[in-house]
Amino acid sequence: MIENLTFLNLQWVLPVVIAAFILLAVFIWKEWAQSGKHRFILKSLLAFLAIFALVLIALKPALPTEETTGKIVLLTEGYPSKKLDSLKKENRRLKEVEYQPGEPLSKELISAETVFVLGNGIKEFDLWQLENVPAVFLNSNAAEGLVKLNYEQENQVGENLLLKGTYINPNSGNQLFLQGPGGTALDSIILNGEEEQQFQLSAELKVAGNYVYSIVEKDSLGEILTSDPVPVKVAEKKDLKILIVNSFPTFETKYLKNFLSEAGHELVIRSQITRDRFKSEYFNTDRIAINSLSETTLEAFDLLIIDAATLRTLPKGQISAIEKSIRTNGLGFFIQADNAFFNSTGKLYPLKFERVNNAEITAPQWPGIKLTRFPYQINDDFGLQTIHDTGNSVASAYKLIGQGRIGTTVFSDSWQLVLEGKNDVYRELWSQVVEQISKKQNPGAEWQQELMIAYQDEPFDFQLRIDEDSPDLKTNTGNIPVIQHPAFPEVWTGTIWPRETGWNSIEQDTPATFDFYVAEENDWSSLTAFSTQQANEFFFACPVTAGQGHKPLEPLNPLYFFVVFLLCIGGLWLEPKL
Amino acid sequence: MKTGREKLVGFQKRWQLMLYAEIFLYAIGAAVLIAFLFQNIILSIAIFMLVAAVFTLTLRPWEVTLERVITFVDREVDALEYSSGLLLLPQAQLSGLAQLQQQRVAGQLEEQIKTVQPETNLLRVAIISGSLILLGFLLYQFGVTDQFKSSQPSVEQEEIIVFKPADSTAAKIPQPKLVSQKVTITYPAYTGIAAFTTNKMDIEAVEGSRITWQIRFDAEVDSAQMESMGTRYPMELNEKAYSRTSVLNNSGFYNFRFKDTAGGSYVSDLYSIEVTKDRDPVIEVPDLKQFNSFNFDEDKNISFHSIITDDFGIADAYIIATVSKGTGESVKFREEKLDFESGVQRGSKKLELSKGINLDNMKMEPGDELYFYIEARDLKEPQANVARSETYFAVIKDTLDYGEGVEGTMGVDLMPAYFRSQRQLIIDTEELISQRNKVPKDVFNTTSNNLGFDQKALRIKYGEFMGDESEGSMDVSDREMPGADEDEKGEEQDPLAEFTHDHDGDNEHNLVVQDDHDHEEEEEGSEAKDPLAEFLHDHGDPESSTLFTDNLKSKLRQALSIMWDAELHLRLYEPEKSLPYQYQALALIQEIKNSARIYVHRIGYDPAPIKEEVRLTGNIDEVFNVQKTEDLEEESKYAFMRRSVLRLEELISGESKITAEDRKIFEQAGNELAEQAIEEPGKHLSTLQQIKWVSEERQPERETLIEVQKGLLKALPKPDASPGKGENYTGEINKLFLKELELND
Repeated sequence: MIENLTFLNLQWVLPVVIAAFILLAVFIWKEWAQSGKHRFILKSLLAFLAIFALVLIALKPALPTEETTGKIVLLTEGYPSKKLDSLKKENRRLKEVEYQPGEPLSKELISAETVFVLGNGIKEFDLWQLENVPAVFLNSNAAEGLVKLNYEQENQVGENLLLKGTYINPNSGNQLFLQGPGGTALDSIILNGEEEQQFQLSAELKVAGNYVYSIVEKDSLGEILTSDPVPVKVAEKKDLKILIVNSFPTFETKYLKNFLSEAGHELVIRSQITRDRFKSEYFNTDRIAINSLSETTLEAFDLLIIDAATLRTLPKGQISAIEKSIRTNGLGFFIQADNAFFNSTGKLYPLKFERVNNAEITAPQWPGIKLTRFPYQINDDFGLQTIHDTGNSVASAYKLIGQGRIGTTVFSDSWQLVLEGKNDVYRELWSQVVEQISKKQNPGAEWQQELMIAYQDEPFDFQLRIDEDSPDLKTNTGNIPVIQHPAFPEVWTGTIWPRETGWNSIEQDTPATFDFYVAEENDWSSLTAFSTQQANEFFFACPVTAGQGHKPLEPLNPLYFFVVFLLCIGGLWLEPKL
Repeated sequence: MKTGREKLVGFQKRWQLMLYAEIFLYAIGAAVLIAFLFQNIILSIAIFMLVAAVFTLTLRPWEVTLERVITFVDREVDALEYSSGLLLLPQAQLSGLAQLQQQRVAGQLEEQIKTVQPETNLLRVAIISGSLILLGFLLYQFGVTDQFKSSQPSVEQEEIIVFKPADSTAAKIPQPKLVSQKVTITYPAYTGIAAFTTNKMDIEAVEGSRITWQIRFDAEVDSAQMESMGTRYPMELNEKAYSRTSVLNNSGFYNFRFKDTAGGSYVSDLYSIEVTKDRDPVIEVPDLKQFNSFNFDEDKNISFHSIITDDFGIADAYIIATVSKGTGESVKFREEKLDFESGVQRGSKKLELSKGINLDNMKMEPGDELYFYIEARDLKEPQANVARSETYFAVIKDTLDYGEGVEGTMGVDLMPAYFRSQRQLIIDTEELISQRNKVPKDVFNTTSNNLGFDQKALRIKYGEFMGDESEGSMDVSDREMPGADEDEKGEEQDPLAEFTHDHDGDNEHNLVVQDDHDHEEEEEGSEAKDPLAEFLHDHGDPESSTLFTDNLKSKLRQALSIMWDAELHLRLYEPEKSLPYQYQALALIQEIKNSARIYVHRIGYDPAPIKEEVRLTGNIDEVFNVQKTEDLEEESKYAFMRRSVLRLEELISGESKITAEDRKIFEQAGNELAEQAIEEPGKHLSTLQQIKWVSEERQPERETLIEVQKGLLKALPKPDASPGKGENYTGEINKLFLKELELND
């Protein structure tokens, strides 16, 4: 029994003991000085006992209890009262505890025999409090409403915002709208009576900035039922720097040149006119000498477009320079194919091709539009990243080589699209190819948020990947401490409790700020309820048997020590009178 | 006596007058109230009339008759002793007692009538009317009427220009009120539409109209301006009204702005100007085929009528006709301007005109073609709108022509001329027949013989297509017939001349290579001197022997045998008998010709062989390296609209307040939107108006900002697809991962 004894105020032991000794010393000296040897031992004993009792009162000795607090039901948001009633009927002495998100759970829970968690469950960030507590999650609420939503929060101007989601038990006839800022309806679907409806909504992103779109559910009369925010960050597109090297002028290059230069990209084109004579064109950029392709020349460029004929005649030194640029600098490398190219092999030919027959194909992205191609398709090897596929074959693709990419397309004579007036298709086709193959910018820091939605005064976990020794993060309210990942030194995690709704930001010293949106308390209620339920189910999946867990400490009643102290002091007072 | 009656009549008049006054008071009270409430004179006059009519009908002042007056007066004045009726009766009819009474009553009446008031509620009515007017005035004074106005919108009310203060200083002195607003639209003189004045500020007028705006304020105003598409135009002050005149050229938007004497400035709503273009005249020709052809012996008349309409009046309409003569290089054109038969009535909006063209009057001969179209111009100044109808064709068929050899696919007559000679032979034969009795017999016979020779020459030529060689050696001695005179010689050579002439511009060399050979054959009468002839007659040569299919071959052979018969009869001086054969031959040749044209273009281009040893050895000293630098990046379209959308998002979320800089951005965005809105003013006008207010007002409401943002987002077009630089964080782990991936690839 005594080995289990602990002091609750263990941190005060030293000062208390010192104080007690001084007090005892004063007592003993006083007794010695006043009354000499007369009952000195007895008085010293009494004084000691009294001081000891005081010490114990201060230190609060405690013993672990074996007793449990019985069965407890933890009532969380949305608990069904019927279920509570039947639980009560079965367990007469059932105790009810209301759950307050973010508050420490009551101590009784820890020593409970069983905890029934009723309702949607406790918030994810509070789950740790029930670790090692024998608890049962009685999930009785069938999930309903919009329970899953997936979309890219960070986008660029001109891209499509695409939201995919799942709606459980929709009311047939209700409509789901995607509304833009200002409340413009951009897309909508009609909910049908299915049990679980997958849906997809999309909208063009026209303007850069941070915006709050929203998903609005309306009934068939147009009455708004729910409206939930969809924060979207739209960044301006950054221009690329592209080098095109051709062994002779082609229409393909001419139209590509027109398109890219008019879109504002920096473009250098070097095409051979005849033997040792070149035409160099510089669009939106200053003149630079491009005599041979060296690593230093290529460093400035994001993408090198070269025709297969030039590639074949390039000297070895330049080929290895290109390869090195791709590997280490992340240069994008696009080859304009010709018929001979498809059977070539070598360092810069990572893509393999297969002969096919039909020269005209349609891509699912552009229904009804016939695209001409070389009679080849790209083999779908390991590591191939597809840009365009035409249903069953790959038309444009690239492979990662080191930091860079090498890619090509089997589409030929795409410039004819421009002549046919299908400018949009042409632009889209080449935008996708050029964008995906081009060098990617290293932003220096990458932010990730664990949850799509942050709520006011609830913890919001984020992850930062940054190559820095101790990143210094700030919000407008103060600094944020971050924890470094033990295995990956560049991964840092942190948690903040946002104080205001709307857009919040975390600032990092050098590279970037991270904006995140803090929703109102009632936003996304069905989605949050669903994810909470899932987290709870997962957490309570492995059962904990009673008594295995914590044994709470029960402090000894200080009254005993007080009585001892009173008796001793009383004895000391009485002694001279006797 | 008279005085008594007069008194009564006077009383009656007074009574009626008071009733009329009552009616007037009711009406004026209601009318003034309405005038105060709606500030609309027309409405108020209407109310006046209505109320007056209602009360006239209820009060019926004309029903106040003398009898009623008497009854009333008798009742009111006891002293009259119910005898005032006597006053109306002539004295002669009365008994003595009655006369006495009459005099007494007359006396009484004179005294008492002044104390009697007619039975009217004039005072009450006056009070009611007065209070109505007072109520109206009070409502007006305390601005309640404004509310009243908005809750009951009337068309006229909306058109009143509303000025709002553009900054807070405006509040220093009471806002000068707009007293009158006027737009005078003067259409261009040629339209014939009278100038009119309206107070509707959204203008829709034809291009070139002169617009005069005039606004007048109740208080002195420092200056007034009109803003349109980003520029401010000062308005002139004359006679206390500000006005500005401008000629409409483009659609657009405008608003007014004025400064009060304290320096506060006020801005009005935005109004649209829509310029309609004067449309081109529309010409319809309902009953005329595009192509008309006539035989030379027909009545060559084209008559048609045309309906010409224009929105503001036609100035002139006429026909432009072109006659073309000849073919190929020798074609000649003659252009003429023809007037319609019925004169064009200048300025009419719809004209129905008719015209008949006689091709003979146009001095046309067979083979000539006439092209014509109708041109109409309207009254627009300075540059009239001109419209043209479609072009119509009229052709007199050329009897010498076979018609187009290759119709449909090619517009070129590719058939060799000697195919035509059968027809020529027919014509000559017919001519010969007609001259049978007019010319001497020997001449007749010679001619017939010559024709026979020509028929033979033709037969031989066709024979060559069949590969017949034997016919080639032609005995030309026939031709050297004695007695053939100059004319006959000329005639003999005529068919040849036909051939040679027609070869010039045409292409038939491509069709039949042995052409030259044939000519030589005919002209010199000797067997091919040309060594080429040897090859050409070769049966193995696909160009000659398999030129026709079996079917064609048999047809041609048939034609040849018919030609034999034709020649035979000509040689026998029996041209009449020859003629049917000739027609038969002609028909067959026509058929063959139609099938033969697929051979025409079989010959392609053979490039000259390239000498490999000189390839890529050209002198390129004068070829230089080319360098070209260009900056194509255009200022992003709608840049300010985009910035505005972003800024509005921040403003809407309440993070910050609107600043002067924002206002500038919004103003620019408004200008950008206006440019776009010109095409569809209705779609963007409200956004445009709102953004105008947002760029002027101190702190617009959140709802307005949301509306503006919504409108701007809607107006922004979808950005064109363009690649952008992606972002990808590459840390140590990524690099390691990629390395491993590649190693295991």
